[in-house]
Amino acid sequence: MPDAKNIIEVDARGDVCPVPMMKAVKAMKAATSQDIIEVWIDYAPALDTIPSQCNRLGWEFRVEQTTDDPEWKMTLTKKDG
Amino acid sequence: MAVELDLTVRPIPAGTDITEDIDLRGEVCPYTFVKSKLALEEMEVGQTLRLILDHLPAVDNCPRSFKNEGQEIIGVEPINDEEWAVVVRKVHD
Amino acid sequence: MPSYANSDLLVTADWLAANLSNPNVRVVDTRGAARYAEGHIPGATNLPVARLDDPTHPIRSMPLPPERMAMVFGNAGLANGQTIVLYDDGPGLMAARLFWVLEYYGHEKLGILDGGLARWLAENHHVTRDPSQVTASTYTPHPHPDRLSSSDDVKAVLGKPGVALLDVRSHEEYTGAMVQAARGGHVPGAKNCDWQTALAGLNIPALKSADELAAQFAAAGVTPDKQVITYCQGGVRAAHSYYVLRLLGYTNVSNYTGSWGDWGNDPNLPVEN
Repeated sequence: MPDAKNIIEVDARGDVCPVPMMKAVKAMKAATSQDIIEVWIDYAPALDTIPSQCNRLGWEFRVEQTTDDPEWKMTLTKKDG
Repeated sequence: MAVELDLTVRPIPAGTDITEDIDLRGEVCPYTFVKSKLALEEMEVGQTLRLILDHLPAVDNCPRSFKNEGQEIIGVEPINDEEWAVVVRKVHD
Repeated sequence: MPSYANSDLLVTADWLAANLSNPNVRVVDTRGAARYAEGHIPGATNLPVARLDDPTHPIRSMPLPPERMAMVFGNAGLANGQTIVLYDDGPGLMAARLFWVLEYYGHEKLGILDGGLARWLAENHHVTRDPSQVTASTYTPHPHPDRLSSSDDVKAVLGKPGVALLDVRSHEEYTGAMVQAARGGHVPGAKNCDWQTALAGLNIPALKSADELAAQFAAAGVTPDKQVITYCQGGVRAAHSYYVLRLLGYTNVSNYTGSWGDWGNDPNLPVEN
Protein backbone atom coordinates (compact mmCIF):
# COMPACT_ATOMS: atom_id res chain seq x y z
CA MET A 1 0.00 0.00 0.00
CA PRO A 2 2.50 2.66 -1.15
CA ASP A 3 0.07 5.57 -0.73
CA ALA A 4 -1.29 4.57 2.66
CA LYS A 5 -0.78 7.38 5.13
CA ASN A 6 -0.14 6.99 8.79
CA ILE A 7 -2.72 8.70 11.03
CA ILE A 8 -1.41 10.39 14.16
CA GLU A 9 -4.10 11.28 16.68
CA VAL A 10 -3.61 14.24 18.97
CA ASP A 11 -6.29 14.56 21.63
CA ALA A 12 -6.31 18.09 23.00
CA ARG A 13 -9.87 17.96 24.32
CA GLY A 14 -10.05 19.52 27.76
CA ASP A 15 -6.88 21.51 27.07
CA VAL A 16 -6.80 25.30 26.93
CA CYS A 17 -4.41 27.82 25.49
CA PRO A 18 -1.61 27.35 24.72
CA VAL A 19 -1.64 23.55 25.02
CA PRO A 20 -3.66 22.63 21.88
CA MET A 21 -1.34 24.69 19.70
CA MET A 22 1.76 23.27 21.38
CA LYS A 23 0.58 19.68 20.96
CA ALA A 24 -0.16 20.32 17.27
CA VAL A 25 3.26 21.91 16.71
CA LYS A 26 5.02 19.02 18.44
CA ALA A 27 3.15 16.54 16.23
CA MET A 28 3.91 18.49 13.04
CA LYS A 29 7.60 18.72 13.88
CA ALA A 30 7.84 14.99 14.51
CA ALA A 31 5.77 13.97 11.48
CA THR A 32 6.63 13.39 7.84
CA SER A 33 4.72 13.77 4.60
CA GLN A 34 3.58 10.18 5.10
CA ASP A 35 1.62 11.21 8.16
CA ILE A 36 -1.82 12.74 8.60
CA ILE A 37 -2.35 14.42 11.95
CA GLU A 38 -5.84 14.52 13.46
CA VAL A 39 -6.16 17.02 16.28
CA TRP A 40 -9.24 16.97 18.51
CA ILE A 41 -10.01 20.23 20.29
CA ASP A 42 -12.86 21.74 22.23
CA TYR A 43 -11.19 25.11 22.81
CA ALA A 44 -12.38 27.61 20.19
CA PRO A 45 -9.36 29.96 20.11
CA ALA A 46 -7.26 27.03 18.89
CA LEU A 47 -9.19 27.33 15.62
CA ASP A 48 -6.97 30.39 15.04
CA THR A 49 -3.74 29.38 16.72
CA ILE A 50 -3.31 25.97 15.12
CA PRO A 51 -3.81 27.22 11.53
CA SER A 52 -1.24 29.96 12.17
CA GLN A 53 1.31 27.33 13.11
CA CYS A 54 0.34 25.18 10.11
CA ASN A 55 1.07 28.11 7.81
CA ARG A 56 4.42 28.61 9.47
CA LEU A 57 5.44 24.94 9.33
CA GLY A 58 4.15 24.16 5.85
CA TRP A 59 1.05 22.12 6.66
CA GLU A 60 -2.49 22.37 5.36
CA PHE A 61 -5.49 22.07 7.63
CA ARG A 62 -9.14 21.18 7.39
CA VAL A 63 -11.66 21.69 10.19
CA GLU A 64 -14.77 19.60 10.84
CA GLN A 65 -17.36 19.80 13.54
CA THR A 66 -18.94 16.39 13.86
CA THR A 67 -21.40 17.02 16.73
CA ASP A 68 -23.47 19.90 18.07
CA ASP A 69 -20.99 20.26 20.89
CA PRO A 70 -18.14 22.75 20.58
CA GLU A 71 -15.73 20.04 19.51
CA TRP A 72 -13.69 20.11 16.34
CA LYS A 73 -11.41 17.77 14.43
CA MET A 74 -8.57 19.42 12.56
CA THR A 75 -6.91 17.28 9.92
CA LEU A 76 -3.37 18.35 9.05
CA THR A 77 -1.46 17.23 5.98
CA LYS A 78 2.00 18.28 4.90
CA LYS A 79 2.16 20.58 1.90
CA ASP A 80 3.98 19.28 -1.12
CA GLY A 81 7.26 20.90 -2.13
CA MET B 1 12.79 30.64 36.74
CA ALA B 2 16.31 29.14 36.62
CA VAL B 3 16.43 26.18 38.96
CA GLU B 4 19.20 23.68 39.68
CA LEU B 5 17.92 20.21 38.97
CA ASP B 6 19.00 17.17 40.91
CA LEU B 7 19.50 14.47 38.29
CA THR B 8 21.58 12.10 40.43
CA VAL B 9 21.37 8.59 39.06
CA ARG B 10 20.19 5.99 41.56
CA PRO B 11 20.43 2.73 39.63
CA ILE B 12 17.32 0.59 39.59
CA PRO B 13 18.46 -2.79 41.00
CA ALA B 14 18.57 -5.51 38.38
CA GLY B 15 15.58 -7.82 38.60
CA THR B 16 13.30 -5.23 40.24
CA ASP B 17 9.74 -6.33 39.58
CA ILE B 18 7.79 -3.56 37.83
CA THR B 19 4.03 -3.86 38.34
CA GLU B 20 3.07 -1.06 35.98
CA ASP B 21 4.56 1.45 33.57
CA ILE B 22 3.21 4.92 32.97
CA ASP B 23 4.27 6.75 29.82
CA LEU B 24 4.59 10.43 30.66
CA ARG B 25 6.62 11.44 27.60
CA GLY B 26 5.48 14.83 26.38
CA GLU B 27 4.05 15.78 29.78
CA VAL B 28 5.38 18.63 31.88
CA CYS B 29 5.04 19.65 35.52
CA PRO B 30 2.75 19.38 37.34
CA TYR B 31 0.91 16.87 35.12
CA THR B 32 3.80 14.41 35.44
CA PHE B 33 3.27 14.26 39.20
CA VAL B 34 -0.54 14.41 39.08
CA LYS B 35 -0.85 11.55 36.59
CA SER B 36 1.69 9.33 38.31
CA LYS B 37 0.18 9.99 41.72
CA LEU B 38 -3.30 9.09 40.43
CA ALA B 39 -1.89 5.90 38.92
CA LEU B 40 -0.28 4.97 42.22
CA GLU B 41 -3.60 5.59 44.03
CA GLU B 42 -5.11 2.74 42.04
CA MET B 43 -2.34 0.29 42.95
CA GLU B 44 -1.82 -2.01 45.95
CA VAL B 45 0.70 -1.45 48.71
CA GLY B 46 3.93 -3.20 47.75
CA GLN B 47 3.46 -2.74 44.00
CA THR B 48 5.86 -0.69 41.88
CA LEU B 49 5.19 1.98 39.26
CA ARG B 50 7.76 2.97 36.65
CA LEU B 51 7.44 6.50 35.27
CA ILE B 52 8.84 7.12 31.77
CA LEU B 53 9.74 10.81 31.59
CA ASP B 54 11.36 13.09 29.06
CA HIS B 55 10.95 16.34 31.04
CA LEU B 56 14.00 16.94 33.24
CA PRO B 57 12.29 19.08 35.91
CA ALA B 58 9.94 16.13 36.48
CA VAL B 59 12.92 13.76 36.90
CA ASP B 60 14.07 16.14 39.62
CA ASN B 61 10.82 16.72 41.45
CA CYS B 62 8.64 13.61 41.07
CA PRO B 63 10.96 11.48 43.23
CA ARG B 64 11.10 14.20 45.84
CA SER B 65 7.31 14.63 45.91
CA PHE B 66 6.77 10.91 46.33
CA LYS B 67 9.42 10.64 49.03
CA ASN B 68 7.88 13.59 50.89
CA GLU B 69 4.63 11.70 51.21
CA GLY B 70 6.29 8.51 52.38
CA GLN B 71 6.54 6.40 49.22
CA GLU B 72 9.78 4.62 48.35
CA ILE B 73 11.96 5.54 45.40
CA ILE B 74 13.61 2.38 44.09
CA GLY B 75 15.66 4.14 41.45
CA VAL B 76 16.11 7.01 39.01
CA GLU B 77 18.11 6.35 35.85
CA PRO B 78 18.34 7.45 32.22
CA ILE B 79 16.97 5.08 29.58
CA ASN B 80 18.57 6.89 26.67
CA ASP B 81 19.51 10.44 25.63
CA GLU B 82 15.96 11.72 26.02
CA GLU B 83 14.17 9.51 28.53
CA TRP B 84 14.43 8.68 32.19
CA ALA B 85 12.85 5.98 34.34
CA VAL B 86 11.73 6.65 37.92
CA VAL B 87 10.57 3.61 39.90
CA VAL B 88 8.30 4.14 42.93
CA ARG B 89 7.14 1.47 45.35
CA LYS B 90 3.83 2.06 47.07
CA VAL B 91 4.49 1.89 50.80
CA HIS B 92 1.11 3.12 52.04
CA ASP B 93 -2.32 4.05 50.74
CA MET C 1 5.09 38.80 55.00
CA PRO C 2 1.78 40.48 54.21
CA SER C 3 -0.72 38.14 52.62
CA TYR C 4 -2.89 38.96 49.64
CA ALA C 5 -5.44 41.73 50.04
CA ASN C 6 -8.27 39.42 48.94
CA SER C 7 -6.86 36.26 50.48
CA ASP C 8 -10.35 34.68 50.58
CA LEU C 9 -9.95 34.12 46.85
CA LEU C 10 -7.17 31.59 47.51
CA VAL C 11 -8.32 28.45 49.32
CA THR C 12 -5.88 26.12 51.06
CA ALA C 13 -6.04 22.34 50.70
CA ASP C 14 -6.41 22.02 54.47
CA TRP C 15 -9.43 24.32 54.54
CA LEU C 16 -11.02 22.48 51.65
CA ALA C 17 -10.39 19.07 53.21
CA ALA C 18 -12.12 20.27 56.36
CA ASN C 19 -15.08 21.63 54.37
CA LEU C 20 -15.76 18.88 51.85
CA SER C 21 -19.02 18.00 53.61
CA ASN C 22 -20.06 21.59 54.13
CA PRO C 23 -23.39 21.97 52.26
CA ASN C 24 -22.62 25.61 51.51
CA VAL C 25 -19.40 24.78 49.68
CA ARG C 26 -19.40 23.60 46.08
CA VAL C 27 -16.15 22.24 44.61
CA VAL C 28 -15.83 22.43 40.84
CA ASP C 29 -13.35 20.48 38.72
CA THR C 30 -12.81 22.60 35.61
CA ARG C 31 -11.02 19.97 33.50
CA GLY C 32 -12.36 17.86 30.66
CA ALA C 33 -14.48 14.80 31.42
CA ALA C 34 -11.71 12.29 30.71
CA ARG C 35 -9.28 13.75 33.25
CA TYR C 36 -12.10 14.16 35.81
CA ALA C 37 -12.83 10.45 35.43
CA GLU C 38 -9.21 9.54 36.22
CA GLY C 39 -9.48 11.01 39.67
CA HIS C 40 -10.95 14.11 41.29
CA ILE C 41 -11.57 15.67 44.66
CA PRO C 42 -14.41 13.81 46.42
CA GLY C 43 -17.72 15.59 45.91
CA ALA C 44 -16.41 17.83 43.12
CA THR C 45 -18.73 18.39 40.17
CA ASN C 46 -17.25 18.54 36.71
CA LEU C 47 -17.73 21.71 34.68
CA PRO C 48 -15.25 21.67 31.75
CA VAL C 49 -14.40 25.23 30.74
CA ALA C 50 -15.21 24.45 27.10
CA ARG C 51 -18.90 24.48 28.14
CA LEU C 52 -18.72 28.16 29.08
CA ASP C 53 -18.17 29.53 25.59
CA ASP C 54 -20.93 30.54 23.18
CA PRO C 55 -20.41 28.54 19.96
CA THR C 56 -22.77 30.84 18.05
CA HIS C 57 -20.85 34.02 18.83
CA PRO C 58 -18.38 35.40 16.26
CA ILE C 59 -15.87 36.05 19.05
CA ARG C 60 -14.43 32.68 19.88
CA SER C 61 -14.22 32.87 23.63
CA MET C 62 -17.31 34.89 24.51
CA PRO C 63 -19.14 33.36 27.45
CA LEU C 64 -22.70 32.13 26.93
CA PRO C 65 -25.44 34.71 27.40
CA PRO C 66 -27.14 34.88 30.84
CA GLU C 67 -30.06 32.51 30.28
CA ARG C 68 -27.90 29.77 28.78
CA MET C 69 -25.15 30.23 31.33
CA ALA C 70 -27.74 29.95 34.09
CA MET C 71 -28.59 26.48 32.78
CA VAL C 72 -24.94 25.41 32.61
CA PHE C 73 -24.35 26.60 36.17
CA GLY C 74 -27.59 25.07 37.40
CA ASN C 75 -26.87 21.70 35.82
CA ALA C 76 -23.51 21.67 37.59
CA GLY C 77 -25.27 22.19 40.89
CA LEU C 78 -24.11 25.77 41.41
CA ALA C 79 -26.32 28.07 43.49
CA ASN C 80 -26.02 31.78 44.18
CA GLY C 81 -25.25 31.67 47.90
CA GLN C 82 -22.63 28.95 47.78
CA THR C 83 -18.93 29.34 48.35
CA ILE C 84 -17.55 27.92 45.12
CA VAL C 85 -14.02 26.50 45.08
CA LEU C 86 -12.45 25.92 41.67
CA TYR C 87 -9.49 23.78 40.68
CA ASP C 88 -7.66 22.08 37.83
CA ASP C 89 -4.57 19.88 37.69
CA GLY C 90 -2.18 22.46 36.32
CA PRO C 91 -1.17 25.99 37.24
CA GLY C 92 -4.77 27.18 37.43
CA LEU C 93 -5.59 28.39 33.91
CA MET C 94 -8.91 26.56 33.67
CA ALA C 95 -9.89 27.37 37.23
CA ALA C 96 -9.14 31.05 36.57
CA ARG C 97 -11.25 31.02 33.42
CA LEU C 98 -14.31 29.82 35.34
CA PHE C 99 -13.41 32.21 38.17
CA TRP C 100 -13.60 35.13 35.75
CA VAL C 101 -16.86 33.90 34.18
CA LEU C 102 -18.43 33.51 37.64
CA GLU C 103 -17.31 37.00 38.67
CA TYR C 104 -18.63 38.34 35.37
CA TYR C 105 -21.98 36.80 36.25
CA GLY C 106 -21.87 38.30 39.72
CA HIS C 107 -20.96 35.39 41.96
CA GLU C 108 -19.56 36.70 45.21
CA LYS C 109 -18.12 33.86 47.25
CA LEU C 110 -15.43 32.31 45.13
CA GLY C 111 -11.97 30.88 45.46
CA ILE C 112 -9.32 28.88 43.67
CA LEU C 113 -7.59 25.95 45.34
CA ASP C 114 -3.99 26.92 46.06
CA GLY C 115 -1.75 24.56 44.09
CA GLY C 116 -4.75 22.82 42.53
CA LEU C 117 -4.95 19.07 42.31
CA ALA C 118 -1.16 18.76 42.33
CA ARG C 119 -0.89 20.20 45.83
CA TRP C 120 -4.00 18.29 46.98
CA LEU C 121 -2.26 15.08 45.96
CA ALA C 122 1.15 16.11 47.28
CA GLU C 123 -0.42 16.74 50.69
CA ASN C 124 -1.91 13.24 50.63
CA HIS C 125 -5.58 14.17 50.44
CA HIS C 126 -7.95 11.66 48.92
CA VAL C 127 -9.22 11.52 45.36
CA THR C 128 -11.94 9.38 43.90
CA ARG C 129 -13.04 8.13 40.51
CA ASP C 130 -16.71 8.00 41.48
CA PRO C 131 -18.72 10.65 39.63
CA SER C 132 -20.35 13.01 42.12
CA GLN C 133 -24.12 13.07 42.56
CA VAL C 134 -25.21 16.46 41.35
CA THR C 135 -28.58 17.92 42.18
CA ALA C 136 -29.44 20.49 39.55
CA SER C 137 -30.15 23.88 41.09
CA THR C 138 -31.39 27.27 39.99
CA TYR C 139 -28.77 29.89 39.30
CA THR C 140 -29.64 33.56 38.75
CA PRO C 141 -26.84 35.37 36.94
CA HIS C 142 -26.21 39.04 37.74
CA PRO C 143 -23.96 40.29 34.91
CA HIS C 144 -21.23 42.79 35.71
CA PRO C 145 -20.48 44.19 32.24
CA ASP C 146 -17.46 46.11 33.54
CA ARG C 147 -15.61 42.82 34.05
CA LEU C 148 -15.65 41.94 30.35
CA SER C 149 -14.16 44.22 27.71
CA SER C 150 -14.90 44.26 24.01
CA SER C 151 -12.66 45.64 21.26
CA ASP C 152 -14.82 48.80 21.34
CA ASP C 153 -14.12 49.16 25.06
CA VAL C 154 -10.40 48.84 24.43
CA LYS C 155 -10.46 51.21 21.45
CA ALA C 156 -12.21 53.80 23.61
CA VAL C 157 -9.36 53.88 26.14
CA LEU C 158 -6.34 53.78 23.82
CA GLY C 159 -3.81 56.34 24.97
CA LYS C 160 -5.91 57.36 27.98
CA PRO C 161 -4.05 58.09 31.19
CA GLY C 162 -5.26 56.09 34.16
CA VAL C 163 -5.76 52.97 32.06
CA ALA C 164 -3.34 50.04 31.92
CA LEU C 165 -3.60 47.59 29.03
CA LEU C 166 -1.86 44.37 30.03
CA ASP C 167 -0.82 41.85 27.36
CA VAL C 168 -0.08 38.62 29.23
CA ARG C 169 1.14 36.57 26.29
CA SER C 170 4.70 35.43 25.66
CA HIS C 171 7.27 37.97 24.54
CA GLU C 172 7.30 36.48 21.01
CA GLU C 173 3.54 36.88 20.66
CA TYR C 174 3.68 40.43 22.03
CA THR C 175 6.39 41.58 19.62
CA GLY C 176 4.84 39.82 16.65
CA ALA C 177 7.72 37.35 16.28
CA MET C 178 5.04 34.70 16.69
CA VAL C 179 1.85 35.51 14.79
CA GLN C 180 -1.43 33.78 15.67
CA ALA C 181 -3.91 35.96 13.75
CA ALA C 182 -3.98 37.86 10.46
CA ARG C 183 -1.51 40.34 12.03
CA GLY C 184 1.11 40.05 14.74
CA GLY C 185 2.04 42.48 17.49
CA HIS C 186 0.02 43.99 20.30
CA VAL C 187 -2.62 46.58 21.11
CA PRO C 188 -0.98 50.05 20.96
CA GLY C 189 0.08 51.13 24.41
CA ALA C 190 -0.25 47.67 25.97
CA LYS C 191 2.60 46.49 28.20
CA ASN C 192 3.75 42.90 28.32
CA CYS C 193 3.82 40.81 31.48
CA ASP C 194 3.69 37.09 30.70
CA TRP C 195 1.02 35.43 32.85
CA GLN C 196 3.54 32.83 33.97
CA THR C 197 5.62 35.42 35.78
CA ALA C 198 2.96 35.28 38.50
CA LEU C 199 3.99 31.70 39.27
CA ALA C 200 6.63 30.92 41.87
CA GLY C 201 6.84 27.28 40.89
CA LEU C 202 5.36 24.77 38.50
CA ASN C 203 6.28 21.52 40.21
CA ILE C 204 3.52 22.11 42.69
CA PRO C 205 1.95 25.28 41.32
CA ALA C 206 2.26 28.29 43.60
CA LEU C 207 1.85 32.02 43.20
CA LYS C 208 4.53 34.55 44.08
CA SER C 209 4.12 36.71 47.17
CA ALA C 210 1.93 39.81 47.16
CA ASP C 211 4.98 42.09 47.29
CA GLU C 212 6.73 40.41 44.38
CA LEU C 213 3.58 40.44 42.26
CA ALA C 214 2.90 44.10 43.03
CA ALA C 215 6.45 45.00 41.98
CA GLN C 216 6.18 43.06 38.72
CA PHE C 217 2.87 44.64 37.82
CA ALA C 218 4.10 48.10 38.75
CA ALA C 219 7.05 47.62 36.39
CA ALA C 220 4.46 47.09 33.63
CA GLY C 221 2.58 50.23 34.59
CA VAL C 222 -0.18 48.29 36.35
CA THR C 223 -1.14 49.81 39.71
CA PRO C 224 -4.36 49.61 41.77
CA ASP C 225 -5.37 53.21 41.00
CA LYS C 226 -5.77 52.40 37.30
CA GLN C 227 -8.42 50.74 35.20
CA VAL C 228 -6.75 47.52 34.09
CA ILE C 229 -7.70 45.44 31.03
CA THR C 230 -5.98 42.09 30.55
CA TYR C 231 -5.80 40.22 27.27
CA CYS C 232 -3.94 37.32 25.63
CA GLN C 233 -4.83 35.25 22.56
CA GLY C 234 -8.18 33.77 23.61
CA GLY C 235 -8.99 35.12 27.06
CA VAL C 236 -7.81 32.22 29.22
CA ARG C 237 -4.32 33.36 30.22
CA ALA C 238 -5.87 36.81 30.58
CA ALA C 239 -8.38 35.31 33.03
CA HIS C 240 -5.51 33.98 35.14
CA SER C 241 -3.93 37.43 35.31
CA TYR C 242 -7.36 38.89 36.07
CA TYR C 243 -7.57 36.46 39.00
CA VAL C 244 -4.12 37.38 40.29
CA LEU C 245 -5.01 41.08 40.19
CA ARG C 246 -8.25 40.39 42.06
CA LEU C 247 -6.27 38.44 44.64
CA LEU C 248 -4.07 41.50 45.07
CA GLY C 249 -7.17 43.57 45.78
CA TYR C 250 -7.76 45.23 42.42
CA THR C 251 -11.39 46.18 41.86
CA ASN C 252 -11.23 47.94 38.49
CA VAL C 253 -10.08 45.10 36.26
CA SER C 254 -11.60 43.36 33.25
CA ASN C 255 -10.76 40.63 30.77
CA TYR C 256 -10.81 41.52 27.06
CA THR C 257 -11.87 37.98 26.32
CA GLY C 258 -11.80 38.28 22.52
CA SER C 259 -8.11 39.12 22.96
CA TRP C 260 -5.70 38.87 20.04
CA GLY C 261 -7.87 36.37 18.19
CA ASP C 262 -10.33 39.25 17.91
CA TRP C 263 -8.05 42.33 17.67
CA GLY C 264 -5.37 40.80 15.44
CA ASN C 265 -7.92 39.62 12.89
CA ASP C 266 -9.71 42.97 12.56
CA PRO C 267 -7.95 45.05 9.87
CA ASN C 268 -9.65 48.21 11.13
CA LEU C 269 -7.88 48.09 14.49
CA PRO C 270 -4.38 49.53 15.04
CA VAL C 271 -1.43 47.28 15.82
CA GLU C 272 1.94 48.00 17.41
CA ASN C 273 5.06 45.85 17.04
